[in-house]
Amino acid sequence: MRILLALIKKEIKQILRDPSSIIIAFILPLISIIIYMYGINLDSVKVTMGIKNDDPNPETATLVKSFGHSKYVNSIYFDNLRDIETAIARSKIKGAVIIPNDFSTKLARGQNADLLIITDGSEVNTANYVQNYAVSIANNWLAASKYGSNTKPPAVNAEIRTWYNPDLNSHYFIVPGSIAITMTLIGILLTSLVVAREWERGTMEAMLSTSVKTIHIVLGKYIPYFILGILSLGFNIFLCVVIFQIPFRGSYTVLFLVSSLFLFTALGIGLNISSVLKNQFLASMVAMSLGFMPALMLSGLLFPINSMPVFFQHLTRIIPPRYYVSFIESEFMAGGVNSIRLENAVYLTILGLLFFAAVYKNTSMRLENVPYARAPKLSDSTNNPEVKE
Amino acid sequence: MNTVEIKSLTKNFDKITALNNLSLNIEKGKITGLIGADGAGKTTLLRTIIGLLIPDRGYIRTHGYNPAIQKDKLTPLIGYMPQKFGLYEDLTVIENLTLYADLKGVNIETGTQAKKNPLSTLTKKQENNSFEKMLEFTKLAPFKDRLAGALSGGMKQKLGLACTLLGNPEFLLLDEPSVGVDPISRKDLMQMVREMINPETTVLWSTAYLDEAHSFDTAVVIDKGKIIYEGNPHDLAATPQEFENKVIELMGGYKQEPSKIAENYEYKIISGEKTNTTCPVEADNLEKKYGSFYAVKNNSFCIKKGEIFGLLGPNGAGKSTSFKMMCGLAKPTGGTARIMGIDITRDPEKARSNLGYMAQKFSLYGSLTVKENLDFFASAYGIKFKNRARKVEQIIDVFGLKDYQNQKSEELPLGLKQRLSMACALIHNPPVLFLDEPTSGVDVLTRRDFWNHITSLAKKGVTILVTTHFMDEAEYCDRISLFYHGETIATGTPQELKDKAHAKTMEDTFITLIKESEDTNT
Repeated sequence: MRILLALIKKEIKQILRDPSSIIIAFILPLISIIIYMYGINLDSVKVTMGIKNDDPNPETATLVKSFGHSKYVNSIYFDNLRDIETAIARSKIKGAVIIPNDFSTKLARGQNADLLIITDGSEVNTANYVQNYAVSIANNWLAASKYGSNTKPPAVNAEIRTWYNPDLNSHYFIVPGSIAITMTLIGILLTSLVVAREWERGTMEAMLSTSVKTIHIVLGKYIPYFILGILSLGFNIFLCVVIFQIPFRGSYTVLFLVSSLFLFTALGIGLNISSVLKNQFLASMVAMSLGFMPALMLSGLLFPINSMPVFFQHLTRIIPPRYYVSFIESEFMAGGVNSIRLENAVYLTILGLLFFAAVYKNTSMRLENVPYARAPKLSDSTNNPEVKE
Repeated sequence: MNTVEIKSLTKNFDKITALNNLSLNIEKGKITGLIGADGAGKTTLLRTIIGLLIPDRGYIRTHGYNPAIQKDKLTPLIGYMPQKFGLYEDLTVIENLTLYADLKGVNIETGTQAKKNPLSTLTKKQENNSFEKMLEFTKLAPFKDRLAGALSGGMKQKLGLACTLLGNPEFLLLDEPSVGVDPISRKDLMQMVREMINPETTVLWSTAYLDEAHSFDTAVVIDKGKIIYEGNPHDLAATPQEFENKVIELMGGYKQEPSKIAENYEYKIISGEKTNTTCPVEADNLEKKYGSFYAVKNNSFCIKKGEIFGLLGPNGAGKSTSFKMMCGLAKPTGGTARIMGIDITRDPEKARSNLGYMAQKFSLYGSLTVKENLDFFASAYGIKFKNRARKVEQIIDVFGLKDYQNQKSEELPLGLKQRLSMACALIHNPPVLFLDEPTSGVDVLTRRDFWNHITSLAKKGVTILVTTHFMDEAEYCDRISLFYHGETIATGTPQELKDKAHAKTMEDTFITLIKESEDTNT
């Protein structure tokens, strides 16, 4: 117990003296939350589109006007097609609506009238907005216009209620999701360095010649970084809920419990990488590509898992952040959904224990298979002439 | 009685045989020196003895335990100091001590081990390596709140040893503790070990310094994984100098041949207005100030053509800072230096083009092969493309690197690495050569060979500035400048300095002159 306490104390001192761990745990979340709050926006946005009316008459003039009144659209009036082309090419407008010259004639006859909607396919999301906005504006106008009586009311009337996130505000799930990213960074990136550092600096060799046991080394790494992670989690939640007013509907106790499980799992990944590679540079590269990138890409935070190719859908199952992102989004937006809590908690526990067992197994108590042990590097830390006694 | 008994021990790493059917007994209560070339198997042997490595074949018992399977029973009895001392650089002196005390289960007040091994023969009275005593003994008490990373080499080494000595280990293993440390710190270290241990303690001390080994009870010479000598060093030779010669003989002998490197060297000045400067290398009141602290002060000297000029001094005396300023890597805060008459502060590139530089640490590209490194340095030193291939081939041949030319440089043994560094420094035939502790951690054979080349190059007219911690190497220098606290305290030929200090050896000269300077200052 004395050994374990000593190792934990030592590690905590090292964490406190290493600015990078403080930056990752406290400064980085602040920056990322600000970016997610103000930088990234997946919501419907106001688009600018062009309008050209080839059928000028008082009725179509009201249609043009209704484009101008929409709260989703900025409309610019064009007289000829070429200007529209240049404007789209220069991205001044995201699309255009052209009212053909037989528009009102056809409507007056009770026929189907055509409306040309041009969209910019190089920005798929925006193209969808342009299309949807234009259609809905035209339909609203039609219902109110004098041709409205000519068309039948739709047989089905859609009444839309958006649950959990009524305003469809993407910040409500992206910002909590960023907590998962921070937790992953602390768990994987930070810890991927710590065992490797001991091997590189030769402190592991000295430690192995004392009475230290495997479990001391393993827990001596898990516990301090776990504490750091939980502190960072508290700070993150404070930022989300108090500063940025993201609604939280779940239970803080459950949030901390499941977050602990996730942290336990992520620490396992980082410590495994570090224990196996024993080289800081390699370990950080591997941690980035094996740990952090999948957390960003495959966790379902940015790209919905359902829309991934089947292979990747299955791949996400072994990625712990997937379970955590799923949990944290539901905990924030939906509140306590016990089935989701349980499912994710169980998966995280299983993965966490597997990784823990692997760390235990991969913690070498001897110098066998350690690249540094083979060709001893002489005295690269023995001489520090810059320093004065 | 023996602390360690080894019979027919073999240990292989991939293709390399580190220990080859080795048999050895280490007597209890004695100090045993382990001597050998780089890659001879010294470190592997130490690590196998304490169970950090598992032998492939053979019998080994340490304190009666088999280290391969009873490591946990063995560790409470031993104190092991690895080559890098095993200190946490971001912890303070006292925190390092506390950590190791905790890890070893040592009582901080009394320095005794909480759970004492029943085999221990130590009496209570002997167990008083308390922190107070450790700090006092290592003279680290004033620095106890300083980060270990901010200590000088000599202090780190003392702290490393203090951590190792905690808990009064019955068996002390030190892996090249004195590499890269100045003679005074080395002497302190030796004294520290001798005073802290008791007659029952066994010490196994691996070293590259043969004068150190000569003072031990037993010397073990290891070569290519085999023991080639085991016995009292005084039986082999009466003086450290003779001992060195005998050991070289045992290792296969060193035959001084005319240096091929020097033979192929052709003296030419690469750039410089005055081709006939009296001082190819000149320091003119060099000064480096950090805040109010002078790292280097009023440093002036003139090195004549073909002269070997040695810069000697304790760790942290300002040697490396002077060195860096001399080759334009650090900007002097006052004064200047001239190489081939070119002012280093005004035209550093032109001045440097006359310079071959060998850094203290291995500073070549480890992942490049020997040939690729040479290619790179050839182009970096501005050798024209059409001449480059021929030049590289020639230098590989001259330096005897042919068999290794396609090997990654990080995989080379230290001696060859050092030869490659020298090849890179000499590839453009510079008239001036700067060597910053070129032989730190290098074995005695390689050092002999190295100095043969250096002295031969000097005869060809190369002007050489060198720093070293090996006092025997100082004898090769034509002139020496002794450096302390940023200032030159003595300059002259080795003989002049010895006369001045009324000392017989360079080592005593060094210590006497440094002490004298300290006394006049206080």
